[in-house]
Amino acid sequence: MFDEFFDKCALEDEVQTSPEFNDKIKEKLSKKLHTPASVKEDNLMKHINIAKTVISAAAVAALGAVSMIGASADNISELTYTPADGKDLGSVAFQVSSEDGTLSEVGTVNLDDFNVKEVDDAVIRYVDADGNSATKISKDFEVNYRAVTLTSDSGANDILGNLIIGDKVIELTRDNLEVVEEFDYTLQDGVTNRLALAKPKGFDNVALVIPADE
Amino acid sequence: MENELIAALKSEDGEQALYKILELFSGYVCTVLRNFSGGSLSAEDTEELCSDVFRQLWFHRENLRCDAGLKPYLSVCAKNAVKNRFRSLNSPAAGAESIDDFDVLPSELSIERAAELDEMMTELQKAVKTLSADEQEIFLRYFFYGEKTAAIAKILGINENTARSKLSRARGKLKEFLINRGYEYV
Repeated sequence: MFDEFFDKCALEDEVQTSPEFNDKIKEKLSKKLHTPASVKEDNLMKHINIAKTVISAAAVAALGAVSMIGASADNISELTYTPADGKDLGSVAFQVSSEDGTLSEVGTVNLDDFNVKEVDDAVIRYVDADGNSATKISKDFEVNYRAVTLTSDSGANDILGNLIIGDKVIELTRDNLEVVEEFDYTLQDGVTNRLALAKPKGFDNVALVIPADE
Repeated sequence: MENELIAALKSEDGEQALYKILELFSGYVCTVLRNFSGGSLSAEDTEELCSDVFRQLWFHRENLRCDAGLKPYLSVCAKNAVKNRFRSLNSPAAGAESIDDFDVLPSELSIERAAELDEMMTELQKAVKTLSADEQEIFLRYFFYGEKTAAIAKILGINENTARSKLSRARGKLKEFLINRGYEYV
């Protein structure tokens, strides 16, 4: 893609990075590659008020099982779910991890309940250190959420995240998401959130949890 | 060399290749981050986004074409990293030009068109090749490098207004080229 141009045209004022800088980036990168997303080194708690909305959205599918392990929204840093069997659309195990990286399975949900079809090798993850979440579904699809915009109520067409296919990024808005199911989830502190399971139009094998459109 | 690195990235020793790529291209990525952010990223943000770009490269290595080079991909990743960062902060880019002005790549397409993206990018390449040499350079410097028109004008030794009008003309030609081939240009 335009490789001839890149060979020919040098960047103006290219930043010269030092070996120390590269070492620091390598260290960060290595952590990102080898550490489960739940054990990100940065403090997630500052984002927890935003993040827990989505975390709890997934937790509701675990049928309130969060309390089984004594976890609360405030000590959940990531929730993942993976199908018990890549080919089996039925049972999906949810795992909640605390900031020390401990993973605990908290329950299962039947994806068929949400009419989500063709989920294959699905792994949904949420939250990164910046308060963004990453929802990864199959090897080919990755959905990045930005928690700040997720909780924004500034309009119906807020950008909810990006669907990333290879190096292509497609913005997800409420206009191109089809809500499959809306539901309420009540946190342990009694706050109830109205949430929705949605899928991007044209991508039946991608499912997302978003705040319901008020 | 870039193509060999992509091949190495996909090999068993891919992670070592990734760190090698990082050493070679961290300056490039930091420059693109700086350009698209208007120089407003903190040192911490730059480090974070830079590592995110290479993380992105790693997780999408299987989709990279060996003949496509690394720089275009790194450039797009860096641009998107900046866009996401500003959006997460609910803040526009600090530069005089909005970060959204840089949208010409897939983020503008409707989701239903995703399957056509590769074909669209091929067409875009063809379209760019129909531009004059100056227009090509201005367009690509602006959209892939995030360089401002003033800087581009200086590089090319032309007036800034000329650079702006050439950029505008290039966009118009590309728009027409793509529309004539059935693409929507949002």
